[in-house]
Amino acid sequence: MWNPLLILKRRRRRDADFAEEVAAHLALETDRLVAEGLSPEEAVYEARRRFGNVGLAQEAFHRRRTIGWLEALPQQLRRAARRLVRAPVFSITATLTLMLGIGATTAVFSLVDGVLLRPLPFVRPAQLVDISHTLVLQGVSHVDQSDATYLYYRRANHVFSEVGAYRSAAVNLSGSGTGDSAHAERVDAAVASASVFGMLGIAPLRGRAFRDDEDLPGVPPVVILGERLWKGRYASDPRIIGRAVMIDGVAHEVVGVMPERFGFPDDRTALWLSIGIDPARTESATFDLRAVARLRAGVTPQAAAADLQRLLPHVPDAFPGRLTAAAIGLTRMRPEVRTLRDTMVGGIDRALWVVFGAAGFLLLIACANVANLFLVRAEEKQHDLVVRRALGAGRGAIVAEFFFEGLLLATLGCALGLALATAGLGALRSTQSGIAIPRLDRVRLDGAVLAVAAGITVAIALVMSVVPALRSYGSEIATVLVQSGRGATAGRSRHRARRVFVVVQMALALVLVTGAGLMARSFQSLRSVRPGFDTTESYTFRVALPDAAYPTTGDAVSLVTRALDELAALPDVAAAGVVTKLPLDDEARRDTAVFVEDRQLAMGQMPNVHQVAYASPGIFSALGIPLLQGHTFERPDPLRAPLEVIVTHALAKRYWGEEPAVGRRFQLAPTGPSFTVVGVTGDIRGTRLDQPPDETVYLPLVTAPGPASADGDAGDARWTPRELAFVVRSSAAPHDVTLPVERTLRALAPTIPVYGVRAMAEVAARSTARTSFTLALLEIASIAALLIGAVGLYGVVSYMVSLRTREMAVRIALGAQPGALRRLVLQQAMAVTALGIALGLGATMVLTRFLTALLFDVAPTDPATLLGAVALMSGVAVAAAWFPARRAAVIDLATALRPDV
Amino acid sequence: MSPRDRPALLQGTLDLLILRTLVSGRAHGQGVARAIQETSRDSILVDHGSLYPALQRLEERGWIRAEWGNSENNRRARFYELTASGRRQLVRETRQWWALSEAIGLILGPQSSVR
Repeated sequence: MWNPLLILKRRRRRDADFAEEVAAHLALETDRLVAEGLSPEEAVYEARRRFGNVGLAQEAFHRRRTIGWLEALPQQLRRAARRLVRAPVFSITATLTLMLGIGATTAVFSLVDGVLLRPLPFVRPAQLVDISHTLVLQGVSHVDQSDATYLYYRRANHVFSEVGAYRSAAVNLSGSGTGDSAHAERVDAAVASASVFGMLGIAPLRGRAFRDDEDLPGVPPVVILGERLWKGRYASDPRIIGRAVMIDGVAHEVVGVMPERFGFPDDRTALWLSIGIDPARTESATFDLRAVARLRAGVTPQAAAADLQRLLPHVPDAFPGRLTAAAIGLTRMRPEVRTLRDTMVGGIDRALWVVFGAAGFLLLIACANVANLFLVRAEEKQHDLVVRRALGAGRGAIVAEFFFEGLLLATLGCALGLALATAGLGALRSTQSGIAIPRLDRVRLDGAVLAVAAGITVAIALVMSVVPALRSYGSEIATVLVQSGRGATAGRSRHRARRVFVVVQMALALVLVTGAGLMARSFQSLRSVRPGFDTTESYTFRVALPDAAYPTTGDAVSLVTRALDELAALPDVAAAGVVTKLPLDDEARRDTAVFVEDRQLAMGQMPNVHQVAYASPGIFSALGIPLLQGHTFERPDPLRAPLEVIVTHALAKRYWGEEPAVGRRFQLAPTGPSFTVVGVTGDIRGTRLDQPPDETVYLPLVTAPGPASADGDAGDARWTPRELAFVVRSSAAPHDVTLPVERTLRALAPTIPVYGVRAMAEVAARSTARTSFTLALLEIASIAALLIGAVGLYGVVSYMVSLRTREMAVRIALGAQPGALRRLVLQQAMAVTALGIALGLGATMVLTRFLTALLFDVAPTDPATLLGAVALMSGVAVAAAWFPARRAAVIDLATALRPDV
Repeated sequence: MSPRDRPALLQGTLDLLILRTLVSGRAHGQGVARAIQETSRDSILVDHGSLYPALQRLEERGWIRAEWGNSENNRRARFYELTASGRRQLVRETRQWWALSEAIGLILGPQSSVR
């Protein structure tokens, strides 16, 4: 056989060498002719005549050395297009198949690329790390930074060139007081130290970043706006620097505008406030800050963590407070250094890789199918090709013919696939149903994605075309000429390659179908989890009450109680309440230590940590949470801070088993007041539906300041939370609920924005969004795989039937029953299917393990799901084979047996 | 024999003829052309213009290799000789040729029926 490697080894021979050879030939021929008796002049003339056109020969030689076929490219393409138009079924099937495969792959690849692979938009992003701590404590395993740890790490470390602290926040933004739109707006913000801006290395668009002295509290308030906010709300005001804007009721001077790509800590951040840390008054045990740092050149995250490990025990010396050396030792607190990218991307990577794998499978299936189609086509052209070969057609010409057909189809499929991918990504972005894919806004089909798509396309074209063409070459000319003459059925070996492709398709499709089935079962299990609260007919919105507008606890509480009274009086409203943390919404989560009375902690034992939330009395009925024991809180009174708590059933069970919990007491700080349990709620799965029920302590809306509340103000006698979620239970249509509710709030507090207005059902849907997102994509992939697989099987079976038309006709003529022929064809199809399914089951056992982390309440090798997938595949296969089988049984004898003309 | 009666050389068969000619030893292009002409008793006249591209093609595929040398009458010429894979290719192509001519013979039927 021809060895393609020879091309690479081919010696470069120059044109001059060839010309010399031709000259030598002419000389030799002349000598010879002279010897035969011609005169020298005649001999020269005759030698030239016999050679023919010297120039033409040299040109032919030159063409062989260069890529002559390239010059014929437009012609080749035109001819390939004409051939494809003449075979529309083949062309359309192949194009659509490739469109699905390439579309799915590029869409998912651009997601993976944009979210996981592309570096963060900052200077030397690989050096940026997130610093946090792990610890061993019931209820908490991970904390970020307190002001004390941040200050000490920044001052004493040897591994970072810079450390910055920040915290996400949300603020009320209102008129600047200079006459522009005064409407109040709730925007996402971040509180950040000056060092953050310098470290990330993105220059402000206008003005400046913060200065180090602005990290201290008590300095004149300053703000940096994001480009989007500046362009939107402030209409790109060129004189924005130095202007004052009202944030939470306080005038802040705008000192800078950051470009949109800055997006730190996330793309939603609209403005940045200074951090206000007082080194003289730290809260060393309040870990409400996050830290970002830049590694010095050559320092690994592990080395950095080791350096911080050395520093951590000295933090209490430098900043005495509630974080003691003993506490650090007891909780086995350890600094953890992870790349910033990992922390920003979060946990989406597994779901994305799974979907990416599924898309890759789909592409493989599509390729197998198109390769199959090409093989069938090569078979049809077999006779034609062999005759051309016998007449001396070059191998290159035949391969090129298939290649250009493949290239055209792949290009067309690629273009359609890219359109499909664009539409798919657009749909994904617009659904925004809280899939919460970080950096989704930055995902687009760019150069890298297009390069991958182009690479896939050319690879497909090559494989699709060269394989069948080479196969046709492996056969002996004479054999084929004789075989493809009349009366022959196709040789056994010709079927093998096609069967292999069908088996591969079936096996891959089974893996996808099983994966989708497992995700569907997980989703179903999640949906059937009883969350412990009732999301129907329940609506929520948020408000934040800034200190500037509501300076005292009394002001804030009286607004909340009046709002609740008016909301409850609205028609159709059954209950209304407020709470600081909604179930299934992990923002605003708080934790507290719990010291249960009569349970002495052993020496060296740390108290358990539980979730804590502040609630009004009506919240439980508004959320549909049943009270199993006791009663709810009393109506909040700004003057009274009752020492009462309501706990969830899971928490009561942990400490008091099945005994009544009402009347039990515990403290929230070693020296703090004792709280009495007045009620026990049912189990609430408020963290995530696939997690065990929450162990939560509910405190009343008005509490004593101090240890009971982390950010209590010691100057105030009473304390109340100021970022609240209202919940209203109403039987009216959603639109008829939200409008009057907003109107009520606006009338009571015109400057306070109402935001996050949502049905509770939507909040719950968001919490399962990741599962349903993966499920949706896997379902699409598996349906496409099933379709393509069915088309492939149908094509192969019907082609097998068409090749055996004459044989079938002879059988019928000899008295075979149509039913028997149908069975014969079906049997062959089923044999192929069974092999595919067997292989697919093997692959499934191995591959579904990667799904484990995404599954809930179903094993990766769940027998019912596997059985269902096998049944579905078999059903589709029977359907795909049924039509050709039926055709086999009703062959028209007269046509089939007529001799070839 | 007039040029009109001379069978046109089927494309592709020139390769076969070149390989066959080189079995008896190395030769330059003009020698190959002469040898084919003489062995076929002047039935086949090799077009010298297409001979050299064919030689080049065979060389690229590794079936023959070439080397500059001196001819019997001391002219510089490029000499060709068969390689091992060229020998195998010759066997293959010869077999195919016989199968093909047999098949064509079957299709055309006995010689007498044409007249």
